[in-house]
Amino acid sequence: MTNVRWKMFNVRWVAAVAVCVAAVSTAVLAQQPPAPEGFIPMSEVTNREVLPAAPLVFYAYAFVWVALMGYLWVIWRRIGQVEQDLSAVTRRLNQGREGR
Amino acid sequence: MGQNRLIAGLVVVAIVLFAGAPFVIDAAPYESTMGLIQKIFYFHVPSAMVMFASAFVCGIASAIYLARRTPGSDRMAIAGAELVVVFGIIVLVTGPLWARKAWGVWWDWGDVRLVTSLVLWLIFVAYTLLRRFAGPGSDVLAAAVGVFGMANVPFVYWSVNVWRTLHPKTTVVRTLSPEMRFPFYWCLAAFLCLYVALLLLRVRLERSKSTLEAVYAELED
Repeated sequence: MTNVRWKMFNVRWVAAVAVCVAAVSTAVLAQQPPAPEGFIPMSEVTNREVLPAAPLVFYAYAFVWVALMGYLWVIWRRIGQVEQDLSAVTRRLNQGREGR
Repeated sequence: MGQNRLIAGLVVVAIVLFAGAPFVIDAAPYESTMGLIQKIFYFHVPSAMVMFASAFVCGIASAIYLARRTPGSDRMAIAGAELVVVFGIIVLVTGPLWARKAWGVWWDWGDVRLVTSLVLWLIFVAYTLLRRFAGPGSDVLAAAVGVFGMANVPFVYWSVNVWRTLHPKTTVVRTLSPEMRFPFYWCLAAFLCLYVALLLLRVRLERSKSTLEAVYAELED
């Protein structure tokens, strides 16, 4: 009796492993493209991703311009503000000295 | 006044060179495997070279500051670090635009050149954040970060020769054909002119800021 139970357990175990292997291999095989029957001419391939290069080159060049000129403008403005503050404070300081 | 003229002259030359760049690049031949998209090379590589140069400017100025505590070297280090961040953004934006077409992906975490470039950029972002938010005493700590950042540059440069991934080797510039070499050096000159102008302007901004602080301190006394 014990021997029969042991055999049944083994059969169930082997069946479970076989089902798992079958499920995994089905999923793996399903992801693979079907094997081609022969050579396919390039002109007949329809679902190929075609990414135009010109917009990417344009975006790259435009980004360089915007980044560098934007930074130049920001620095120029900050220098203008600081130097304006500096001249105003220096004027106040000189007026204070003259007042004494 | 003399420096103002120099900066204005460099900016004008840089703008002329940048404006002429599309025509010069257009005249260059197409690369055999990548075609039109390879033309991003003419902005991407010069901006990377300027980024490396700026990291050296920041690192050397930081080392001088650590040794002698001269305010001039500290200002130069601040300017250099900020320009690493600016030119690094250009490298990190133009690179993926090129990669998307050439390699089919925007970014590849397995490519050592990409990852080390990002790390280098982040080190200099850390430097600028330290200077902005860390308060008094951050100058010495930031100078150490600047030296550390500079020490990373050779690793970024030689990474493509040691770990063979998607990036081409460092020999690519040396082996350019004469038709491709001319637009490359044209763009490099444009980037270098603008870089020197921006560096001088940024140093001037720091100098004006420290003068303003000194005058404020005198006014309070």
